[in-house]
Amino acid sequence: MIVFAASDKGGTGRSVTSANLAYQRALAGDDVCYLDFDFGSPTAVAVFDVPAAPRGDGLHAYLEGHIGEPLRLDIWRLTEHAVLRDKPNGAGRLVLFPGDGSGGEFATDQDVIQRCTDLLLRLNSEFDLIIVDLSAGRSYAVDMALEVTARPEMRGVETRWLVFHRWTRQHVIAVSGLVFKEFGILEAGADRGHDKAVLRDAIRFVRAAVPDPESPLWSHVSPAQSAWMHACDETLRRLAAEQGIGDSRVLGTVPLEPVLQWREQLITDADVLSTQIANKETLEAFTELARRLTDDTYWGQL
Amino acid sequence: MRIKPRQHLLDIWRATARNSFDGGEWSWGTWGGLSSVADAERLLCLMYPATEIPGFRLDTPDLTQDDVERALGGAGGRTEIPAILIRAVADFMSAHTGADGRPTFAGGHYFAPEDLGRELTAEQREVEVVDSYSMSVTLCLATLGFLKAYETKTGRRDVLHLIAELKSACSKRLTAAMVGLLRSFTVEVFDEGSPQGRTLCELLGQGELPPRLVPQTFQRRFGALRTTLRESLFLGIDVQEALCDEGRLFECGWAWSLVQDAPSVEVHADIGKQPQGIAAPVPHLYFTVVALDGIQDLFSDRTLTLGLLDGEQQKLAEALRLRWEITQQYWSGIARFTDERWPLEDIPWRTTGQQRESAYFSLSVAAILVQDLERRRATDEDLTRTVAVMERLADRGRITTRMTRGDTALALHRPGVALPLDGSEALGPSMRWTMTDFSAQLLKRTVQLCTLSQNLPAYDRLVRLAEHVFEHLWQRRTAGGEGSGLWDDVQAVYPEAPHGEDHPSWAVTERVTECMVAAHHLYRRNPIRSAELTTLAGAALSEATHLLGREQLQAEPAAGGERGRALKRAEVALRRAGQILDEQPATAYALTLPVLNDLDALAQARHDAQGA
Repeated sequence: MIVFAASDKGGTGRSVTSANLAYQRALAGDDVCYLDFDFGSPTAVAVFDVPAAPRGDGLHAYLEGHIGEPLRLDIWRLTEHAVLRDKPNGAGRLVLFPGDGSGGEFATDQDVIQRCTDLLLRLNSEFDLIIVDLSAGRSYAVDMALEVTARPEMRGVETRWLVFHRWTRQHVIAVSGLVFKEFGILEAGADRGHDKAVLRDAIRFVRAAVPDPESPLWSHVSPAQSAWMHACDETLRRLAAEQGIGDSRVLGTVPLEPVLQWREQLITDADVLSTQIANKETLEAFTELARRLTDDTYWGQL
Repeated sequence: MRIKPRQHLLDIWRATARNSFDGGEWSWGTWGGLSSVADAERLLCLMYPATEIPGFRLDTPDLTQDDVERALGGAGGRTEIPAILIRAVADFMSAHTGADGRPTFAGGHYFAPEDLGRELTAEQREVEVVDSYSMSVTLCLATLGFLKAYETKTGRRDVLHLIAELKSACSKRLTAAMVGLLRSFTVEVFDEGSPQGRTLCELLGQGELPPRLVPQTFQRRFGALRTTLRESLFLGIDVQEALCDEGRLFECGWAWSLVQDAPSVEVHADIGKQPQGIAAPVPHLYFTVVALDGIQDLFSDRTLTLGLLDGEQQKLAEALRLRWEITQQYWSGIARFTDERWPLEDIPWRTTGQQRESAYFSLSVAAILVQDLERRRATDEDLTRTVAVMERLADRGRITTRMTRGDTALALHRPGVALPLDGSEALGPSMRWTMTDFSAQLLKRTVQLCTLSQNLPAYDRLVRLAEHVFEHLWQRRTAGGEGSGLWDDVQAVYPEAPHGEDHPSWAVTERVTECMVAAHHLYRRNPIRSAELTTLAGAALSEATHLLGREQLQAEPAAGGERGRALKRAEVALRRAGQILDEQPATAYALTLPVLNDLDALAQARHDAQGA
């Protein structure tokens, strides 16, 4: 299965969250690879804490035809993250395909599309789950993903989209625009031969950095603050529903978490259990999201 | 016990979900499908709050609130619930449709033989009943609105297909129910000398008017209604002629089922052949109230704004509305016929036709009066008098007082008040209908009255009464078994009561659900304002505003200082107090007091310094 991770703007925690999803699925036993298509600012190497940034042998170089095979990094072996270093028993493979630091955005021609398709097909037979991190907004990366998945040879490959956004008024409107409005993902997909309804049902949203008023994190706020948070949350839910990204199209939410904000790394059991710097709820949100990725009751038609 | 509509409704939903959802599907169990009334009541326990209260809506999965979703845990997630519900309603529609495709409204196991030793025939159990028409009107309207919202939210082809089918089934059933209601409306005309006439004259005279003068007063009061009945409705030649004689008395309202010889109503919608009526053309108080309750939904704001009725249904609704108006005016007038002592205050009410006495009938008449108050045709003084009637009914029913040994009030709750259904003997042994919902009806009317009340003492009395009745009802939930958390375990409050049925009573459960919806509407309203408190708060506010003005004559405090902040706070508090003075004078007063306190501390301090 291929999962594309998109977002309306930067700073939505798309890369960090999808990296965490990859990590969780690998822990659960799947063979997972992570493709950094964030052509503007590849960050995956930092998130997974691998030292060597690619120099001309990453995904960009491959797509542009400079090299025959992009660099792959075995996270369990190469990471400098103390906890990740020992691959747990029963865990699957976790492989990173980094982007090139100096790549930047580039135009997509038919050759690029072909190379991308070949790569995804190859990886699909090798891995259980392919997570593709796309740059923010309606970027070249998004177009390329739509173009590739519309091709006939990709027909048999299960494809899902996660669209990340922050839980604020501006982001809700922006992300709805990114998907549903003119020049949005759906329209762009339809132009490339996707069935709009099918594509829409393959998209789910992830709300990131959500201050859930019900969570224990916020149980100590004053009654007035709590009432205010509830009212704001309710207003946002209403807005989201109007914008077509209501609860029934949400795969999950990630709570507001300082560790994610500042460290931008994987959250491990150790962070919750031994050092206790991260909240239990955050880890739970990741494991639940990772589970729902392949749980069909959360996908398809509403 | 305080009534917390949201929490209590969630409790009811949890219990209903436990009872009626099995593995993510609706399950009717052994008692489903046997009575169209019970099945409709059961569905309404969920559908009514879901369509009446925004916080409980289920038709838009994105807006389903978390606690509501959790309460219906057994039914799957928010996206699954609406589909399951409409499948359940679709089951209901097909279960209560005859072989010829005609919607049926059978009373089923709600009918019992008068002579308990005999068995009702299958044909008798299939006789239609006004309760079912009324419940179906409410259920169909709720469902149509639900579908209207949900169909734009789902893309599943099978569900959309089901929605389209259900929509037409609902609309058809709605038309059939309205036709049924039209055909069970009746007017009975009798002489003052007949036993009925004598009962009515005694009831209306109340010792104030000599019975022989009652017919004259009756004609004066109800002459206009008589003319409308005669001229605007088609009631059959006999009745029409009898009404011409102004010396004769009459009663109007709903019989228990389709009236004998009721002509068919011409409709274009395909609702099949309209069955022959068997009910004697006699209005029953109980069925009249039931019909009035259902008909009211036909012209509610929701029905109008969502446009739930088609052209033909609007015509039928108009015809029903006319009967609704007449009946309400008639009974409200009867209830308050004499000033000194209302016939309604003479508890228990005695029915003229069957000459039966029960506090239940008093409650029915009170219910019609409450509806009339809602339309503001009665005065605030009338309302206060009705409060006393409610209190006495609660006392009579031994809800607010202790049940004594061998108390006859026990029968009001169990086995309930039995009503012989005249005309039923044509098809077999005579049938009866049993009303077991005295307490729930009392609560519903009390809460409705409370919503209308504009004066504090009456409001407080009603709230106290409602809390009392509610506490009694809440204890009557069954503790275990399949209906755990649902009604009706009368033994829990009256241990000497005879043992009831083991399955849940959807009649009582649905009534309590309605009560909670009514209580929700009550709290949505603004609190009653006290005029005294408004004056007091206004005076305090103007004093505080003045003193604040004086304080602000002093040298400007340093920015960021504590005194500057205190003055800023005072200004904000007083502004808010001024805004809400009219709506919530007590809150405005509470906001003003600390400001006065703070300002006085400053004034005293300054005074002290000047003295030194």
